[in-house]
Amino acid sequence: MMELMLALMLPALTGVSWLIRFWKNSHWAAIAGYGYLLGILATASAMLLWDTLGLRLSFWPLATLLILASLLPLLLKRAPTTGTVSSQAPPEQSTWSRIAFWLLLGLLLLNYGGIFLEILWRPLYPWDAWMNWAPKAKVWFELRELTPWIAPGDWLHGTHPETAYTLGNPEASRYPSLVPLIQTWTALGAGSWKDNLVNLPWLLCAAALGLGFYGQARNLGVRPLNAMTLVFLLLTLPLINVHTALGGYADLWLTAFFGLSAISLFLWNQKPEPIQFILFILLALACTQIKMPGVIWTALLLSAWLVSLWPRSMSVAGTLLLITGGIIFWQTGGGSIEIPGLGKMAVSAKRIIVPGLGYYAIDYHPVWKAVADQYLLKGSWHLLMWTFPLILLYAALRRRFSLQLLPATLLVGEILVFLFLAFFFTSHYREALDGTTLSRASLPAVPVLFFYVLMLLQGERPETSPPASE
Amino acid sequence: MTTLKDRRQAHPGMCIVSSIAYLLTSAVLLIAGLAVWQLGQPSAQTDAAPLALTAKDLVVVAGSGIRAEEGVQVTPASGSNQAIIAFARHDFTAEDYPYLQYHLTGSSPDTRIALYWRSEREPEVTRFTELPAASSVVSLEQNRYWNGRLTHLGLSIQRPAQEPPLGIADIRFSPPSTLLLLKSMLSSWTGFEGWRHSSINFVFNSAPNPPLSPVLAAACWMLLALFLYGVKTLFFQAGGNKHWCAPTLIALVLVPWLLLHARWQSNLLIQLTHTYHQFGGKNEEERHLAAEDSNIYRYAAHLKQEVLPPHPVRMFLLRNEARDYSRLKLQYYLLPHNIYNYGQYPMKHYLHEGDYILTMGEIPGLGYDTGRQLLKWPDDGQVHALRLDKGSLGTLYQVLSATGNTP
Repeated sequence: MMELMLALMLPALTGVSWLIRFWKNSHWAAIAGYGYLLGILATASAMLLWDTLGLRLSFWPLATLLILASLLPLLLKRAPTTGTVSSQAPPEQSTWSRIAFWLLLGLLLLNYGGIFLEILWRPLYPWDAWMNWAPKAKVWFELRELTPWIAPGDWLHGTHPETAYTLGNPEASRYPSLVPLIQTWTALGAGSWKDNLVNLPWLLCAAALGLGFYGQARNLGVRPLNAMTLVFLLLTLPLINVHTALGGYADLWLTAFFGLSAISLFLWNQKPEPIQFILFILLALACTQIKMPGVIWTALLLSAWLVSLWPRSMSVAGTLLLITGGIIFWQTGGGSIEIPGLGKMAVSAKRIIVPGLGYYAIDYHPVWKAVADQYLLKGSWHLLMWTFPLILLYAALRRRFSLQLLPATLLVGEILVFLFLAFFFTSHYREALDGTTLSRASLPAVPVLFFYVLMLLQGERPETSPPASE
Repeated sequence: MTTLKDRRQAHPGMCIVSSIAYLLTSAVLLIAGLAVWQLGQPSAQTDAAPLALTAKDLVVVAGSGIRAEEGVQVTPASGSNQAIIAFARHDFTAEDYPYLQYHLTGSSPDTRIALYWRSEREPEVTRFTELPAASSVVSLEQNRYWNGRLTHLGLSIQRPAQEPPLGIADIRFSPPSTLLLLKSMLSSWTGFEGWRHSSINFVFNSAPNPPLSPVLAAACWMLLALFLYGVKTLFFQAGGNKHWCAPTLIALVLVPWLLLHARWQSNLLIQLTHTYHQFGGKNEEERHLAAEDSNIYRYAAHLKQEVLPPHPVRMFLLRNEARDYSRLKLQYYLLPHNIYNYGQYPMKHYLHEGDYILTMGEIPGLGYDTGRQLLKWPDDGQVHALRLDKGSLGTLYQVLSATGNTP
């Protein structure tokens, strides 16, 4: 039991110890949330390194590595202390605000307390969890080595070592390894493969998303109650709840990594602190290691970042020029490019090739009804998809779309265009019709939408100074 | 345009009170509108009386049943865990009776209940619709197959045979009415939505397939309240000042949102009690044996513990279905054995001596010659193999010679 607790806590300890050292002026919640995700990356990296060295996976040696990594920041020079947003004293919170804050936190704890028990009691349930993700972890844990997973044809032809495995889903052997590594690590801590315990990190992932979101909102200067309200609305969305309670899918991890990466980008754009940029880049690159479409989510983040580098006076004109250029390029036959380490990327009016994902014929499929059903009628999102356009309208009327928000606005636009293209113009339209992936594919966008709303409603004035304890 | 100063002029308490008034007005207007719309429907003009089924109208054709005064107590057959109740009274036109009411006693989380029917329009096709496993009023109006003169009608029930009998009574088919429409909506919105394999992709936040989506209802409620507030503020504000009260706007959005959350949270808590009854207090082994795939787990455990060697072996898993639940789940439970999980016949060119072949269920054309120890399949395919085990879900062979000749 102690090893399991350590397996759950050590990633957080590792990440937090580094961030405490180098993110001096952040709200503690952001350090905790981002720290956990960084710690997960460190843990997975340690396991990969360990296996590359030809050593058998074992809990205590890896745990010792993580403990050493946690202690390392103590030896390094501290980051200079600078104010993040504002140095003014936080305004007094009214009694009603405090009551509402704690009430929302209590409801959130009730929600996730139940989810914790659900994880603890139920064996691995959702389909892809035991078909695509957990099998790798189970084999890695049982054999104590990261055996390769290969395509069924390669397995038959014996082109790989005898120990190579293949899955019942022909595509799944190519899936990135971060999620099964997380499960392997937890199983190493538990000492045996237990279907329920390997999913406990999903609870921590949701908590990290909430903490990171809340802390960054506070770093932005948002009042505690407003930040808590948004976190409550985000973390109690049914689909986020489902992906935590019925753990084993990669979507929640992609949501947390992508969401917190984007939020760091937004804050870096408001005030260019190096730590925000480092967090943005690290978490953005990690998206490629979670799911195959992570490559696209990373590309969306990087392109929004590139826009933020342009001079402010050039931003709107540059963005419009880029979009116009893109459309002309597409309509005039497109082109292809070889991306080192990733493969060929090609775009034309008839087809698109995405590195790592494959070839997609482009053809319009009017799946409006199915999309409306998933977004506006099904219960996965509560009222998010109804209220988001209303808030955009409100923000437009109040002239809240500033140049400072351009990268965030662009990222939201890119996400919408990406989902539109994926489900209206490629073979994925079938998954919109049967409802299998449309909502899951939209999940990573959700924290970004919430934080964008927060920034739009926040306007340009900081409400409080960030390092308050609440 | 509202200014920050304007917002401060409105008293927050008054804003909250006014938001409640807008929400109440919005709700009343929506319900009234629904009633008016329902009355305008051609189907609402029928004066047919409800069809109430008594105990003698219910015929248990699978499983066993005891007739009670107003219904039947039914126990599923032990092998299939299924019971089928045919309704003797089914000679009516489906669209004339779009509402079904029933009363259930002794239902459990493992109970699955569905209405089945055939109609003269599709005499060879049996249609099903899942029903809430609790006393309910269900609207069949949205079901596009609920039409035509019915030829068969009844209930299909799935639940563990060892559970106490399920009581079904007060079955009634009714013509359209506003009251039943509202009752069916309320019934679906308060109904339970348990975990299903599609939950990871989407949830209803109501009983499955509600007559009206609770999200749509909440959105209409919110939008109409916002519209009323907007009209009042823009055109009927005393003194000509257009004060937008932020707490009112926030409440008009948050109250419907939180109501949806309250429903979802209550559903999660009910699910948690079901999960506890199914798995709580059990160890890893017992949890698997209590799960819905316990037969697959039990079979895999038997193979791993009693038949296969402890080290991982190469195995070909064959089945007549491609990528179905059983074969994929069996692969998961058999890990870390190294399994190729495709096809229905052995791939002779890739077989090695010592490989294992696991066939699941019946595979047409695949047979085993016990005397000659030959596993045979169509097109003269054969391999020399030893049958190691014949179990509830499949048969395990070990390849003795990949050439098909006796070694």
